[in-house]
Amino acid sequence: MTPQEFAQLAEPHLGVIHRMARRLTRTRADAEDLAQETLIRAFERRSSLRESGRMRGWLLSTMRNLHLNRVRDEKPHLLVLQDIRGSAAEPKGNLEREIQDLVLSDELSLALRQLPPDQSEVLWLRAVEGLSYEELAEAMDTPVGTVRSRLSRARAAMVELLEAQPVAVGGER
Amino acid sequence: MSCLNDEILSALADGEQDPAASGHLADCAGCSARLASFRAIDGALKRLPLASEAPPSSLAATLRGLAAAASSQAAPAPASARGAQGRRRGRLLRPVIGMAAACAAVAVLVIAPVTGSPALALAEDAVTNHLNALASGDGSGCQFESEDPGRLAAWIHDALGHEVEVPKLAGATLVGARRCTLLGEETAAVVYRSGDTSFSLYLPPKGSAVAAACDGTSRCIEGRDGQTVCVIPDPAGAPWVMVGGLPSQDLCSVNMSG
Repeated sequence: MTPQEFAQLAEPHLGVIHRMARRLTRTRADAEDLAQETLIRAFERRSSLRESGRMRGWLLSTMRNLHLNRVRDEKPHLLVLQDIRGSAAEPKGNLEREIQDLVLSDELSLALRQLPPDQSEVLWLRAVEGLSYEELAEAMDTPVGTVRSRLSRARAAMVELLEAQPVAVGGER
Repeated sequence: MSCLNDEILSALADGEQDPAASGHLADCAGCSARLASFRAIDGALKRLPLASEAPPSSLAATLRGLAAAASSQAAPAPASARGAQGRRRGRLLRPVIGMAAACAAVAVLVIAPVTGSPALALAEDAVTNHLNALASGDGSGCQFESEDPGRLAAWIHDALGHEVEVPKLAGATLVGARRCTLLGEETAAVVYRSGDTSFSLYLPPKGSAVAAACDGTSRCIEGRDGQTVCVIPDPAGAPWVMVGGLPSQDLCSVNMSG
């Protein structure tokens, strides 16, 4: 694959790369670093990409491996849970409607952040970026069957988190 | 039929067809509600602000720069560039010759949106970095402040491991230095002040993508937001990239005193 071919194939996926990097890292600067490093690493290894149609999953897999290598030696961060709604649970109505309304609040993002990383990653890439099961398997270096089960667990966990009020808010120390 | 498990409901939320499951859904309010919740979560995630966030322009610049730099590395140097390199003798002569050439070129330079141009990708990245640096912290654009070229070179060596020669420029005062990223690579930037205007001089190491993106031609580019970018190549492979909010002729008039 020539450098120009690589650039043409990768360019449509810069948005996915950027947003995934933002999800994986804590700051915009870290996200930009990770996204840039992903492009450079993928560019260096472009000869290993056999099918151009697999570019998106392959780029995300490259990013995931880079990210895992970066955080492997980091100290674990303490997740601080606090109640942002007071101690009294508020009455529930139609859950589907409540979920639709959550886009206006931070609660959806916070719930997503509380999922195990593999689950939040697969849910984001499926729901927002529209990756197929096969692309998800490539991106996460895991069988399609595992993708299916992770997705279902992620969705079930989101429902439980959003049903359970008050919502726990994540913060890092 | 018993109620559907979450894996089947999740697959249905993803659009998979399952006649038996669909038949069950028609009769089971519980499963229908859970499927609706799964779908609602997907829909809500798509409407989060991050879901529509566009990538920064620096990412596209990196991609173009990588492709262009690799191409320029693969291609043989133009005959004119080889001739020019042969005529140049020393490093101290480089800036004067280069800036003169850049000044001469700027009047006739036409900037077109050429995809894959290493100079344009680099210019875009450098302007972004320069403006961001001046807009953050104390506004000096520096992580280490000193007017001493030797101290700045030592700081850059400690921070980046790069051996650089920090020049003194007759028309400007040294302010300090910072580490930054151009085309995805760590690069040293030295900050100068000329009158009320600060400008950055990037010192990419030999063999870097930035150095490769600076081909053998001196040039100035009128960048965005009133910024001028001048690229000064180096026969030894360590070019300079200057960025500042000065008119091209003013930026070019900053000469080296040695």
